[in-house]
Amino acid sequence: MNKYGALTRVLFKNGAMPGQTDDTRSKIVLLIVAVAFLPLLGVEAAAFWNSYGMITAYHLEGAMLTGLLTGACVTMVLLGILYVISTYYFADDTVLLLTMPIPPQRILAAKFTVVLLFQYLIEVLVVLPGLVVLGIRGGNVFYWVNAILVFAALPLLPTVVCSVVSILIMAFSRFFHNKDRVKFLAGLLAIALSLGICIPMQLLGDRSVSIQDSSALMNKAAVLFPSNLLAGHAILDGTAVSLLWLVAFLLVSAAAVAVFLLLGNRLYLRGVVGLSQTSVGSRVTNEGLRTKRRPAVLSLALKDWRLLCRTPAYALNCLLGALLVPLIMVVTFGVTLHSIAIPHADAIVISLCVLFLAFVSMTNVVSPTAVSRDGPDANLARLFPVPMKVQILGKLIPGLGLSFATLIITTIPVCILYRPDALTAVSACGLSAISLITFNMFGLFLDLAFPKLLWNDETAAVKQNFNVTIELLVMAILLGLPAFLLYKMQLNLQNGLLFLLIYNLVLLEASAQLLFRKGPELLSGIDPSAKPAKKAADRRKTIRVTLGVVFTVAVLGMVGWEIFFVHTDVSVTSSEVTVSAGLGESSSFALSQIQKVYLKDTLPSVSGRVGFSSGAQLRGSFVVEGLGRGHVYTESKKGPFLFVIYKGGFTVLNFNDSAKTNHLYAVLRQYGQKA
Amino acid sequence: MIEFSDVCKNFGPSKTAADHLALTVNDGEIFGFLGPNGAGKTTSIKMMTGILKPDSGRIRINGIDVAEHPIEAKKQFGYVPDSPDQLLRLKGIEYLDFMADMYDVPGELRAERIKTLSAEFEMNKALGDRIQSYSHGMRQKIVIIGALLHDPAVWILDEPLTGLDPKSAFTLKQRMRQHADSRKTVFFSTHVLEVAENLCDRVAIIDHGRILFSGSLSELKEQHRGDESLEKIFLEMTDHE
Ligand SMILES: Nc1ncnc2c1ncn2[C@@H]1O[C@H](COP(=O)(O)OP(=O)(O)O)[C@@H](O)[C@H]1O
Ligand SMILES: [Mg+2]
Repeated sequence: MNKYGALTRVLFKNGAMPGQTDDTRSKIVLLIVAVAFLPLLGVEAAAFWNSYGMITAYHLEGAMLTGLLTGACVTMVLLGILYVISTYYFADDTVLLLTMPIPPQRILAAKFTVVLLFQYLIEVLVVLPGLVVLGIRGGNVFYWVNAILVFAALPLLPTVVCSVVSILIMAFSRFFHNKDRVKFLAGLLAIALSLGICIPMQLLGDRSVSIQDSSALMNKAAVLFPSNLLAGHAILDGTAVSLLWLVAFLLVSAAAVAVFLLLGNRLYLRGVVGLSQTSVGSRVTNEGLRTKRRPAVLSLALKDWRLLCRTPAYALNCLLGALLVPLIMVVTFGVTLHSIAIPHADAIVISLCVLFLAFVSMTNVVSPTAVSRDGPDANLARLFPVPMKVQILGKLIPGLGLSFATLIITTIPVCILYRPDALTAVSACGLSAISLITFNMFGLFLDLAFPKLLWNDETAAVKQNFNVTIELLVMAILLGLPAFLLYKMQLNLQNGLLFLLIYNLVLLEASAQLLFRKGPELLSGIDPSAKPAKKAADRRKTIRVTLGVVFTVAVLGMVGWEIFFVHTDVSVTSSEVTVSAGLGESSSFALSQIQKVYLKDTLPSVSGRVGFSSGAQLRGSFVVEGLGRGHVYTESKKGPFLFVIYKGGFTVLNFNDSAKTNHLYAVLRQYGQKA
Repeated sequence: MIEFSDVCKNFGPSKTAADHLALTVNDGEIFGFLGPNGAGKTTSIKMMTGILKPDSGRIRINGIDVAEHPIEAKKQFGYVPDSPDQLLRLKGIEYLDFMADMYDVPGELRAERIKTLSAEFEMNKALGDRIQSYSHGMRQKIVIIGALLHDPAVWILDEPLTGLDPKSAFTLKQRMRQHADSRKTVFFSTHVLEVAENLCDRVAIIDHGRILFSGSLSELKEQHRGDESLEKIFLEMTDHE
C-alpha cells in the first residue's frame, strides 16, 4: 500500500494531470481558472434553484438526479477514454515502471487513481450544483450522507468502463500496436461515441414516456448506467432504507473495480509490451530512394503538413476540427434555421457573415500553434541557411490552406441552403478570404511571440495553448467591431461595403507588417532549451499584458466612440417622441403632452450633470438655467437648439447638422401651437 | 576554418558555460573538443551553429561572422547535434529530401549522394520507414547523412560516434580523415579519450566553460613530462576539489 501511495504521487508530479504545476505562479493561474468556473457553477445552481418548484410539482427529482448522475458518467467515459489510454500506456513512465519489481495491479491502481481525480473535476461541474440545491431545498440527514458517498463513488464505474475498454483494445489487437494509430483511433472513438449517444437520445426524445410517469422517467434517465438508479434511490429515499440502496450502489462500484484489477493483472502487460514499436514496412530499397527537389518554402510547408497529419494529437485537433466543425455547423443550421432567409444585401449582415465564416474557418488551430507544435525541433529554424521570412512563409501555408479549404466547404452548402443574393455571397466570401489571411498571420505571429515549446505530450502544444484563445478573442473583437460601427454610422450599402473592404485591408496590412517585420527576429530568437521556469513566467506575463492591451483597446475604442462619433437618434411615432443617444441614454415624451416648441441659437448654462458630458456633447439629465432639471442631448455647441417643453419636463437637443434640427422643429411645431 | 574570439555565455548569474573562449581551428585538421560532462562543449557548438547566441564575442566560420551573415555562414557547415531525435515522424527519405531542400542541393546530385552515403552507412533499407522506428544508432546515422548532403566545407559534430556500431563508426572516422586531408575542417566534441587520441590532429580541453589546453596531443604530453597517459593528464587537469 505504501508503494501505491508513492506511485500515485510520482505519477501525478510527472505530469499525468493536465495543467500540472510546480511553481506558485502557475498555481495562481490554476486558481484563476478554478475561480472562472465558479460563475458557471453559480449559473447551474441558480437554474436548479429557480426550477425547483416545477421539479417537485411534477415529482421529477428522481428523474433529474439520475439524469445528472448518468450525464456525468457518460461525460466521464467520453472524456476519459483518451486520457486513460495515454495514462496507462503512453505516459513516459510506463516503460520504466514495468522494469521495476512492482505487480502490474499496483501500477494500474495508481494510474487509475490519477485518472479518477481528473474525473472528479467533471463530476463537480455536472453534478454538484444540482445535488447541493436539491439538498438545501429538501434534504435531510440521510440525503446528505448518501449524497456525499455517492458523489465520492460515482466516478469509479465510468472510469472502470474506460479502463476495461482500453485494456481490452490494447491487449487483443496487434493492429493497434502503433502508438500513433491508437491515439488517433481513440480520439475518433470518443467523437463517434458522443455523436452515437447524443443523436439517438435526441431522436428518441420523450415520446415513449409521459411526463406524469415519474418512476418510468427515472428508469429511462438511468438507462445507460443502471447502477445510478440505486444511487438515485439512495439519495432521495430520505429514510434509513436509503442506506441499503447506498450499500448496493457501493457494492456494484467496488465489484467493478475488482473486476478491472483482476482483468488488468492479466492483460495490462500484454498491451504494454511491444508498444513502442512503429510499423516498419517491407519496402523495396529503390522506392525508398526516390527524391524530389522543391523550393525551400514548399519543402518547409510540406514538412509541417506531414507532421500535422502524422501526429495524432495534431490530426485530431487541427485537421479533424477543420472538417467536423463546418459540417456540424451546416447540419445544425441547415436543420433548424433553413427557413430563415438572409435579408437582402446589407453591409451589417455581410460583416456578420464574415465574422461567422472566419470563425468556422479558423477552428483549425494550425497557425497559432505552428511554432509550438515543433517543440524541441524549433531549433532547426536557426540552423538552416534559409531566410527567416521564407521560413515564416512556409509555416503560414498549411494553416492558410486549411482555412481556405474550410471556407470553401462551408460556403458551398450555405449558398445552396440559403440562396443569398450574389452581392452578399461574393462580398462575404471575398472579405472572409481577406480576414483568413489576416488572422492566420496574426495567429502565427502570436505563436512566434509566445511559443509553448516545452511539453511532454504533443496534445499540450495544441490544447493547452493560450495563443489559440487570444487569437480567437482578438478576432471576435476586430471582426465584431465593424458590424457595430456600421450600425452606428448608418451607411448605405455601397459605402458600407467600401468601409468593410478598407477596414479589412487595413487589418491585413497591419498583421502582415507585424508578422514579417517582427517575425524574423522572433523566430531567430526562439530557444526551446532556454530555462523553463523563467520562460514560462515570461510567457504568462506577456500574454497577460497582451490580453490587458486588447481589452483596454476595446474599452477605449468604445469610450472614444461614445465621445466622438455617437449621434442623437430621435424617433417620432404617432403618439410619442423617443430621444436616444450614446450607449443607453434615452427618454421619451408623449406628443399630446407638448406645451411649447421653439428654437434658440444659444444654450443657457447647464449644470448638475446626471449622464455624460464632454465639451459640446451633453447627454442625460441636467439643470438648465431658467428651466430647471430636464433632458439635454446636444451634438455640438452651435445653434440652433430645439427646446420642447411638455408637462412635467422638457428636452433640449440639437444635431451637428442644423438642417436636421430645423426639420425636427418643423415636425414638432404643430403640437406646441395646438396647446 | 573556425575562429572563436573572446566568446562568453552564461545561463544565469552562477552558471558559466563559455568563459572567454578563444580558439582557432585551421583548414585541413581534425580538431577534437574534449571535456567532462557539462563542460560546455554542446553550448560552444550551438553558438557556432547559430542556435545559441553568445553573450559577447565573435565566431567566424571560413571567415564569415555567424552573427552578421547568418545565412552565408550556415551554408559553410554541416552540423550533427548531440541528440538525433528530431522530425521523428518523417520517413528517412523524406527527412533527407527536406534537408537537401533546405541546403539547396540540386536534384541529380542529391539522389546520388543519398545513394552513396546511405549505402556506406548501411541505411538504404530503412529509408522508407519513419525515423521513429529507428534505433538510436540509426537515427544518428540518418542525421549524419543529412548533414553531409550539401557537402559542407566545415563539419561540426557533437559527440558523433555515440551509439554507432563499429562499422559505421569506422566509416565516419574514415570520412572525417578524408575530409580533413582535402584541406577542409572537421570539428567534433567527445568525452571518449581513445577516439581523440587516434583521430585528432589537435585538441582543446574545456572544463567549466574555460579552455585549459589547446594544441596537439604530443604538445600536451610534453607539457606533462611525457610519460603519463592521456587519461591521467585529463583527469589531473579537470580535477578540482
Ligand atoms: N539551456 C540551458 N539552461 C541552463 N543551463 C544550461 C543549458 N544548457 C546547458 N546548460 C549548462 O551549461 C553547462 C554546459 O553544458 P553543455 O554545453 O551541454 O555541456 P557538455 O560539455 O556536456 O556538452 C552545464 O553546466 C549545463 O548545466
Ligand atoms: Mg554535450
